Amino acid sequence: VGPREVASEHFSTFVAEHTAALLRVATVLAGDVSEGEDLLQDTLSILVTRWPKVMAADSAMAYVRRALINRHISRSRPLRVRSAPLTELDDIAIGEFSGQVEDRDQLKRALGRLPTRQRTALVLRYFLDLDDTQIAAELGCRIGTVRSLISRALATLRTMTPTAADNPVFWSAP
Amino acid sequence: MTDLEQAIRAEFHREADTATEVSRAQSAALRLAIPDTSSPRRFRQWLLPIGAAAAVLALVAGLALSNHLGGFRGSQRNPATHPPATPPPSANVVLPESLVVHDGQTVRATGKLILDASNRYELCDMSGTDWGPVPSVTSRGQTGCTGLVGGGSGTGPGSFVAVLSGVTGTTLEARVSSGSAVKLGGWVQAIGRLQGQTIATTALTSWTPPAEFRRQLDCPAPAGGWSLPTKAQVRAVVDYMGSHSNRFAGLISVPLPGGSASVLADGGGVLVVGTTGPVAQATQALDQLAPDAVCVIATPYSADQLQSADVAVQKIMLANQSTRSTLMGGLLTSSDKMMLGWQLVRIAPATAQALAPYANMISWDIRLVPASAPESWSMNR
Repeated sequence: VGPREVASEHFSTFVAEHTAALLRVATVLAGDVSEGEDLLQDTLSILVTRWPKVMAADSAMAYVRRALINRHISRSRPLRVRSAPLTELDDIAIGEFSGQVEDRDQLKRALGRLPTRQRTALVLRYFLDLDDTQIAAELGCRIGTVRSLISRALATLRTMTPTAADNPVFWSAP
Repeated sequence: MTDLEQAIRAEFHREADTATEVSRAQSAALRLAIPDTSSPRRFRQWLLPIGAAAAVLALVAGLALSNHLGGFRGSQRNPATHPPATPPPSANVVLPESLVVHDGQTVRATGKLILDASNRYELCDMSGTDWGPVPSVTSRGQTGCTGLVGGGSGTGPGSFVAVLSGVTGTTLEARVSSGSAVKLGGWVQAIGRLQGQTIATTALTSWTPPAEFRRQLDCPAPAGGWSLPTKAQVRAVVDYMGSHSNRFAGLISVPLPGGSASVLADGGGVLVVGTTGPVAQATQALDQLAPDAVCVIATPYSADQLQSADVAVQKIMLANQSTRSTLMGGLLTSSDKMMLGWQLVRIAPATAQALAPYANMISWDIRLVPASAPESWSMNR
C-alpha cells in the first residue's frame, strides 16, 4: 500500500466521519445549505490534492475547518465590490414585520448582507463559540481586528433590523 | 450576551440544522478521491465505492445509461471493423452553453412524478423504473427517489429530485379532466423557475421518454439464468478491472428485463463490462468472480482512448461534486464516438467549465435544462 492509497483511505474516512459537521459550518458561513455544499465541496476538492499535508497536521479537522474559512473568504471577495440594488435595501428598510418568521427572515437577510469577514467573525464567535484569540488565529488577523469586525457587524445588524430589535419575543433564544 | 447576540446564535444553529437535514437526505452526495490522472488503476480504485454501491445504483444506472448505448452491440461487434474514434480531447469543441443552468432560471425538467411522504409532488429522475411495471406508489427515501418496481423497491442515491412547488392534487385533477392526464408515477415534463432543488412549476405535461431508454442486454442468458451479484462480487469485478485497466472499459449494472421481484428489490442486475481484448477470455475471468452475473461486451476503442476517457470522467466527477449536479453510471463507449456513460441532470456553470476540453467525448443526456434550450437536450443522440 503506497502513500497515495493511505492518503486516499484517510481522506475517505475523514469525509465519512466529518462531512456532517463540516457542512454545518460551511452552511452557516455561506448562509445557505446549497452554498454551503458548494463551499465544502470546493474546499475538499482543493484539499484532496494535498491530503498528506492535512494528515500531517496536528488536527485534520482544524486544518480543514480553517481551509473552509479561508476558502469562503477568498470565494466571496468579488462580492465585496458588488453594489446592492436599491430595491433590496428598500425591502429591508420598509418590509413588513408582522411576526417572528418575518423577523427571522429579516435577520437572516441582514446577516447575508454583512461583509464576508464580519459574518465569518460572527460565525466563529456565536456558532463555534471561539474567543477573540481563537478567532484571530482562524482569520489570520489581530485580536483588535476581530473585536472591530464583530462590533461593526452587530452595529450594522441593529441598524438593519430596527423593528426586530425591539421585539423581545424575537430576540429570545429558542 | 445581548438579545441580538442570542438571536444570531439561534439563527446560525437553525441554518446548521437545515444542513444536517440535507446531509442526511443526501448522504451519498459527498464523495471525492485522491486524484491521479496518470494512472487509470487509481481511478478504478476510486470507483470502488461506486462498485460497492452498484447494487443500489443498478435500477437507476441501468436505463439511465441505456440511452448512451444506442448503437452499442458490443458482443457482436468486431473491433477490427470499427476503427477507434478520434482521440479526445479536441480543441474544436462546442460547449452546450445554452444548457448551462443557473438558479433563478426558468427550466424544463423531465422525470417521474412522485408524491413524497410529506405530500409534496416531486420530479424524480428514475429511468430504471421502465424495466418493471410503472410504479403505482412511489415515495422519496432518505437518499433519493424510491419507487416500487416490479414488486420490489429500488433506491437511487444521488438521483435527481426536484420539488415541484405549485403542483397540488387539485391541479393534477384538473389536468385529468381536461384530457391532458398527468399520472402519478408517470413521466412528466415540468416547466418553472428553478431555485436550488425546487421548481416553481408553471406548466406540467405528460412526456414520453425516447425509445432508447429501453435497454436490451447484449448477452444471452446463462443456462441457469442470470444471478444477482453480491456486493463482494461487484467489488471483486471492479478490483480485477482495475488491475487490468488496459483491457476494460468501465462497468454498469443493468437490471434484468422481466427479472424477479427479489432481484429488482435489491437493486441488482447484470454487470455489463466492456473489454478491449478477447470477450471470451474476459468473460471467463470475470465469471469466476461473479458467476452468471457479468455480461462482457467488446469495445472498439484502444486502451489509450479509454484511459483518456477515464481522465475525463474524473474531471467531470470532481466538477460535478462541487456543483451538486448528479451523474450516474460508468464509463462506456459507443459505436461512433468516445462516449461517457454518465447521465447529467443539470449542467451548472462550474461543471460546464470543467467539461470544456472533453465536450466532444460526451454524450449529453440532461434532464433539467433552461426552458429556452432546444427541445431535444440529449446531444449526440
